[in-house]
Amino acid sequence: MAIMYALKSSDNEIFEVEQKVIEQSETIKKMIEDGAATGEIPLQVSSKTLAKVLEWCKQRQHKTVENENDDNKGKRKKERDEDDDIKEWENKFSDELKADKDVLFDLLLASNYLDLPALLSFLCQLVADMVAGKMPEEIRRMFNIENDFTPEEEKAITAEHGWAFQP
Amino acid sequence: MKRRRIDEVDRISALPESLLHHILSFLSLEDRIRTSMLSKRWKQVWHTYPNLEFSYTIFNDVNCRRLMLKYLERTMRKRHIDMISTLKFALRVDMGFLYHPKFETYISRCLCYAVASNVKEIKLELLFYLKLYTLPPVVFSAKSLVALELQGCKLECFRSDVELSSLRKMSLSRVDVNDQVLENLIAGCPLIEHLNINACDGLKNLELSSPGKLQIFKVYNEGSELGRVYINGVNVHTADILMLPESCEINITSCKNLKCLNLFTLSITDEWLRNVLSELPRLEYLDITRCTKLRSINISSQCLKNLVIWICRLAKLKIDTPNLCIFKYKGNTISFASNVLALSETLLQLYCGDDDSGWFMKMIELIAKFSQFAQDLDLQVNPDEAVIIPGELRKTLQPPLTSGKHLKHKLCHSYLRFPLRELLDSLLWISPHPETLSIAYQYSCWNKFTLKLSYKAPLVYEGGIPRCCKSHPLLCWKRCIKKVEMEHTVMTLHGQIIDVKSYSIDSVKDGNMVEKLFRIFGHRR
Repeated sequence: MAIMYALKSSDNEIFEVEQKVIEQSETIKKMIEDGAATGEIPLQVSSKTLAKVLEWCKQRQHKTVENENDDNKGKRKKERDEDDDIKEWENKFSDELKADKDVLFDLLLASNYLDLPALLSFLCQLVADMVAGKMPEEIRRMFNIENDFTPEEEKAITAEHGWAFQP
Repeated sequence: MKRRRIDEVDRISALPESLLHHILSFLSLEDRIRTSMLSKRWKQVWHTYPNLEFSYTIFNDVNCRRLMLKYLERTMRKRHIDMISTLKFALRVDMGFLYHPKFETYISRCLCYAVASNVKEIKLELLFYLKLYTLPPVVFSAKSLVALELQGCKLECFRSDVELSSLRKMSLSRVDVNDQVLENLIAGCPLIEHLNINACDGLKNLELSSPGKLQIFKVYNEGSELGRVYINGVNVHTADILMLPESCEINITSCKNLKCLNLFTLSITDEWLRNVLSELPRLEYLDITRCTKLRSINISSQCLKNLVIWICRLAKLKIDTPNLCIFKYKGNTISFASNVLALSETLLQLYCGDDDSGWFMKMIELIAKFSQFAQDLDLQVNPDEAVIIPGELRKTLQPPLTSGKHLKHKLCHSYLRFPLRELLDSLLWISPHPETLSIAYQYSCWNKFTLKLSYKAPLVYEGGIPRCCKSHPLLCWKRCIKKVEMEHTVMTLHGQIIDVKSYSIDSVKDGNMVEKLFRIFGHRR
């Protein structure tokens, strides 16, 4: 029987989760080891974000368990199929986050706070992919970044960096 | 005051700096610089980004390269003033035939700023055709430096200059360095674990007599005047020795704890190898590639797990290595003897010469040596048709792989020189009752057939029904095949799957299943 833990979100919702799933979070792992986590583990993460975090952790957990159970025979094909499945799942996950950037940034902060390196890298890569190859104006529009340079400052910056954008 | 709607809030700029740095790490230099132009916040984020990696690839124009160096110098100066630490400084720039003393000044200043900010990693790849860049002495006293990778520069230092007290990894490639300078350098790196020397033509005698912590050593010095390589490191576990001049004396026998040894394109002799192997009892991995002076190898080792002998013109190979797991061989047919118990992976790539008389006999004899301990055999033969055993030989000889379970075969040429069914028939003579058989060939894309085979008992001839192969007691595959499950996969050259087709042929449903199987293959030439 798997050991279960109760996680309490910042808006007081309780999530019952298997130990193996939440131990991917170094922060929670340390809390458990320190014995601070008898009963509910209070987290500074909203229920909406925590649900998303757990969705990711369960998918990762699923993947590692299946790999352990594999024997050598026919592994290649199975791995291939699994990789395809994971890709598909990740694509769907990414698309949802791209559509709702608020969730994306909440999740980024949560993965940083919970110390989930794999999720953090995944999300940073996702943001980087959204930025890559775009002109500053496009990036500003996408993320509501205010251009707070004075026209003179902007001119100087453009001149300073011109070399990097030669055809 | 105007109230902002939630979807107008700039959340990305509010992320902690460490996260924004993490995002920048996934961007190209061009995109990174572009983000610094977004706003004051982003300018600051770039200003404090700890990894400065500049590469010439995006600077086509001469002027651009100059401006880039100038910009880099200014960026690093500003960071220096603000006491911002730099973890990594990497610069790759191709100056070709251009040369200007100013370039050197910019690079040297950048290195000074990097060292002053306790840099951990320096990677410098320079291509100056007219004059080699001389590394400033400040780099040799960078106490924080953990990894130093240099390409295309000149080193000059005295023993007293060098104080690389944290350095673990050093890689010198096309660096102008002589024996004395290298000795001075190594002597000042008490913690060095990983040393890589590539095409440093000034070296004549490479002697590492007491590199205390050295673990990994690689030397690759083709066309140089290197006359001697001597390593005496008790902690060295991996040595890669590649392409040294013919006259170079190599002495590694003092590395008693060596586990992994790669010998590539060396003029080593049978005697040298015998001597080295007898002095290195802990060796687990041995790769000998293109050492064409070797004729007869005799290896005796309890520890050896992985042996690769690749294109060496051997005549004889004897291995007394009971714990060997992986064996890979490419070359002509050889006289082979072993006491191996069980190989988990076996690859034989055999080459048939133009007038290789008795080829089939020699090949069958060699493969038969693996029958007992190689359950998985990957067999490749060049040219492809040399795997088609002539009919008369099949009648008189014993099939070589009577107890193998899995046979893999990959064709060498990008077109089929004979019908696939002939290949199938020959492979199933070589290994009469395998559990799986796979055949792969490349014809604009990769084609792979994987067959799972099951058989009717008995597999041994018991009289009565006619035998096609009269001399041996095993029934040929055609007589005892019960069921074949086949998958045909078409992949791009990068391994991406384009199409998979599955077939199932059953002796109950399909009557003459051999014919049916051949018919599926018959379409492919």
